Amino acid sequence: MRFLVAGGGVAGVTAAQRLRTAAPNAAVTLLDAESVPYYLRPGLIDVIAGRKTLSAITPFSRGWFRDHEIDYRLAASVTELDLIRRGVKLDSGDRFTYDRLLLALGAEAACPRFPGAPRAELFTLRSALDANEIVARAALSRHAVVVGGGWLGLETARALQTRGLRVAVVEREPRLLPRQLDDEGSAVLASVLGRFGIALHAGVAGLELVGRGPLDSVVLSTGERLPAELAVVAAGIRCRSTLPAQAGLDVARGVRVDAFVNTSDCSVFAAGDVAEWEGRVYGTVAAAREQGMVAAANMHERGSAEYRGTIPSNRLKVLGVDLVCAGDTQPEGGPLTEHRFSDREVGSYRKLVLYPDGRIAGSVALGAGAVEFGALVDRPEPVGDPEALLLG
Amino acid sequence: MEMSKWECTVCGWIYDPTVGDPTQGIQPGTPFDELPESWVCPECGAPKDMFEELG
Ligand SMILES: Cc1cc2nc3c(=O)[nH]c(=O)nc-3n(C[C@H](O)[C@H](O)[C@H](O)COP(=O)(O)OP(=O)(O)OC[C@H]3O[C@@H](n4cnc5c(N)ncnc54)[C@H](O)[C@@H]3O)c2cc1C
Ligand SMILES: [Zn+2]
Repeated sequence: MRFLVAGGGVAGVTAAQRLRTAAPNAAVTLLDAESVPYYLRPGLIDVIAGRKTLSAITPFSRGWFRDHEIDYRLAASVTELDLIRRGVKLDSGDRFTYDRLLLALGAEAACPRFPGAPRAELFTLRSALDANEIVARAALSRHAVVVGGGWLGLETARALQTRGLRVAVVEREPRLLPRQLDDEGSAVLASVLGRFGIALHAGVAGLELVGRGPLDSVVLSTGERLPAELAVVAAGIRCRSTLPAQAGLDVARGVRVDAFVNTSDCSVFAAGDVAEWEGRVYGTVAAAREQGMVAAANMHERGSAEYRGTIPSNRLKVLGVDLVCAGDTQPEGGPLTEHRFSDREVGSYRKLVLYPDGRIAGSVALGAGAVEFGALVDRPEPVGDPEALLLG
Repeated sequence: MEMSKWECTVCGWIYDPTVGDPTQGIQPGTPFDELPESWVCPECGAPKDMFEELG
């Protein structure tokens, strides 16, 4: 049996490891477009902050793959997929055939179009190469603008600020982390940003990158001009589904997979950020790993494992601050009631969403004690005095 | 003796033995040493040897 894994991020590496253990005599080949061995993508934030090197976030050497008899090819970018001949072609012209193929190509950073872009001082962050380029440009910059106030944008802003740059964050929505926080929660997080000296500009409809020659500022649709020699866009991800679509696989936002993470071709599986399962692209390490494990099991023995979805973690650390969200946190009208406590000064926010009978429908906690609060509200019995619970 | 917590050196996620790791089938009460070699950080995928014991 020849197993081929295209893409060596967390989904692909997990699957290759599992295939190796499950089928000791099979050939396992792992192809990756990048020129450096597998690293832990979340650690790139620390690389940008200057706290870690790439080798500190690289868990296995190339020798490790050799010892585990995984044929690991770097700088091996798949450019063609032939479903009928069951083969792939690389940019080098090399060809590989397979009995079972896993597509674990991941995603790339989305980059909306702005006037004045593209340009050399505008970056997205996805790979070690991106991180190195951002670091190199940061060394020549005093000011940076980060476009996007989601989790990645905020962490990137903090990392650049740690390097000593003056940083501003620009967000199109009126608040930060719109999926997790309401206006008040967002205001508390914005005050945490402010304490680091990072300015937030929310509700910004558009922007333009300006500068004769190199970038020197970002002009907002409000007219405000932010000095910037460096700009990073963190505006979400786009599944790498062009190649699979061209090959004729069923693709929506990502490569569509069933409960066995099988694509529309019975010899081809997909896992991680490239895959779409029940309309969902998770975009998390945990989901990529779980899907990679299910893929490996079914590539080895068809129908042996089912994917039932990944429970999103309710814990997030943003700007070094704990954020715990659970259940229904943003009821819109209806019988649910909301109770809040917020202290922008100390950067603390608590919210309880209750059913009419006092049972907890959802909760949000940000700042010191958030984890404890999250555990406290993780109980079935009704809350008698929500205000007391909020104040701890 | 109280079981110690371990922190991921890559992303800062903390393994608390009293909680375990339900996402990978690890029961509460499992000390870090007894986690299987295949266990990884649920947040970033770092293997066990990239964790440090919290003092
Ligand atoms: C800076 C940063 C921080 C993050 N932090 C977190 C976090 O804290 N928690 C969390 O859950 N998630 C986090 N994420 C998201 C997480 O990294 C992804 O969900 C995860 O990496 C997805 O894994 P994957 O294997 O599907 O894809 P990827 O990790 O993107 O790996 C895909 C691999 O395929 C390769 N490839 C692409 N095209 C080809 C081709 N044609 N031929 C061969 N190889 C190819 C790529 O080079 C890449 O190595 C973060 C992402 C970034 C960028
Ligand atoms: Zn980790």
